[in-house]
Amino acid sequence: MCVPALLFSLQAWSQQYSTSILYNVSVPVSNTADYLSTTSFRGLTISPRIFLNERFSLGVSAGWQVFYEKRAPDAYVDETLTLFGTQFRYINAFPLHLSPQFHLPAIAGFKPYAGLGVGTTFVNQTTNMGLFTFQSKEWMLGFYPEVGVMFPFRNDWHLTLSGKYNHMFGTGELPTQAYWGINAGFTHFFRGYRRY
Amino acid sequence: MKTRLTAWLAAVSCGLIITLQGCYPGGPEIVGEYDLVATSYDRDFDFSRARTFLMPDSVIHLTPGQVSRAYDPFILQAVASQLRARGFTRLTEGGNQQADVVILTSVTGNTNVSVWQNPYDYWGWYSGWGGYPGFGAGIGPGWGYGYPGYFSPVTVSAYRTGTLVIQMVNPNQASAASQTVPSVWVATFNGLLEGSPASIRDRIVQGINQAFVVSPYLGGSQ
Repeated sequence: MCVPALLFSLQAWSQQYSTSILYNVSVPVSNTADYLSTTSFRGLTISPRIFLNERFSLGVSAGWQVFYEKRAPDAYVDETLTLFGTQFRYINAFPLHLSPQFHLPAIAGFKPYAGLGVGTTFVNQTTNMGLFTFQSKEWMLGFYPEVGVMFPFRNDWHLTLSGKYNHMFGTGELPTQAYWGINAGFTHFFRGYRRY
Repeated sequence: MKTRLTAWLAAVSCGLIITLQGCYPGGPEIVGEYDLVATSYDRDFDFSRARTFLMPDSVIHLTPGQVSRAYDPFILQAVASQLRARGFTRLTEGGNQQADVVILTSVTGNTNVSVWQNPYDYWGWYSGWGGYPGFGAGIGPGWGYGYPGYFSPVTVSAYRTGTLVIQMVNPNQASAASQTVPSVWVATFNGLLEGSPASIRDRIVQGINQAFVVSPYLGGSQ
């Protein structure tokens, strides 16, 4: 059991590039949950990265997460104005982060890693009520800590599973936003680029 | 090898994005989910003292022909019924008693109309109603409605829709100088003019009822 793990580990630090494609499930928290509390099953992250050495890699993480919630007919009061109707709430989040990762030695074939993302997220919050739309769009600075694990299953292909806490600082019309994410997908390692 | 992998990754990415786009969440699925009721009121007006109302027996059609007049009796009946249920007494026109408030109803449909952007221009006096002779100021044709203080009128634009506006004005504080009558409560019901006449009628009545439900101060409780 230890020999294959060692081989994978030795193989890993000889690789220079990787690309991950991950499907995201996200759970809103904080102000985001106040606006809508439904778990989002519509998310995608693409993350190309370069390995600086066997332990550290630097990459870019870009994604798209769609939150949606239908609110039953209700009254919304603002001063002397009251609106009553069905609301359809959407958040489209497009995160773009610089993401260094620290890769731990493989354990029984599993390659754990921890990472941090620092960057910005374009957030489009839309509320449709009746025939009217109320929209707030902001570029929000933020970060995410991430832990994950990769498991090689075929040549340079790895199954990848990770968890993230996405935090976006309030700006303009939007207060601080946050959501937890569970990401699953594939990571492909590009070997032999050192020759170029 | 590199080109093939890059192409494969690009294809997978595009496929996932298209899949995400395909399952992008929708919106309203039935006509009633587009219905919107909006109300606003003058917080300085003492609704608990308003006990009588006068209401013309016609609905103003701001865009003639766009909304069927078959709904008019149901609109008038629903509004009067709701006011009575909140303790108001309806006075008849030409009577000697002065009404505390006057209720005016109007509809518009199927055009892009900003009803409340400039109410003074848009709202002429109801031409089918001669005036309110019980008051010294002689409120009548040529007058408009005023919105005192921070009472912001509701803005509603209509696009292939129908909009019902119910307006409560206070003829006792009419201004002869500006020739305006203060509006103390306004309710609008906006929705698609789709479906059978019976379903549209039912939605209109439900909208009227809801406008009163979200305006409990009309019953005297602030």
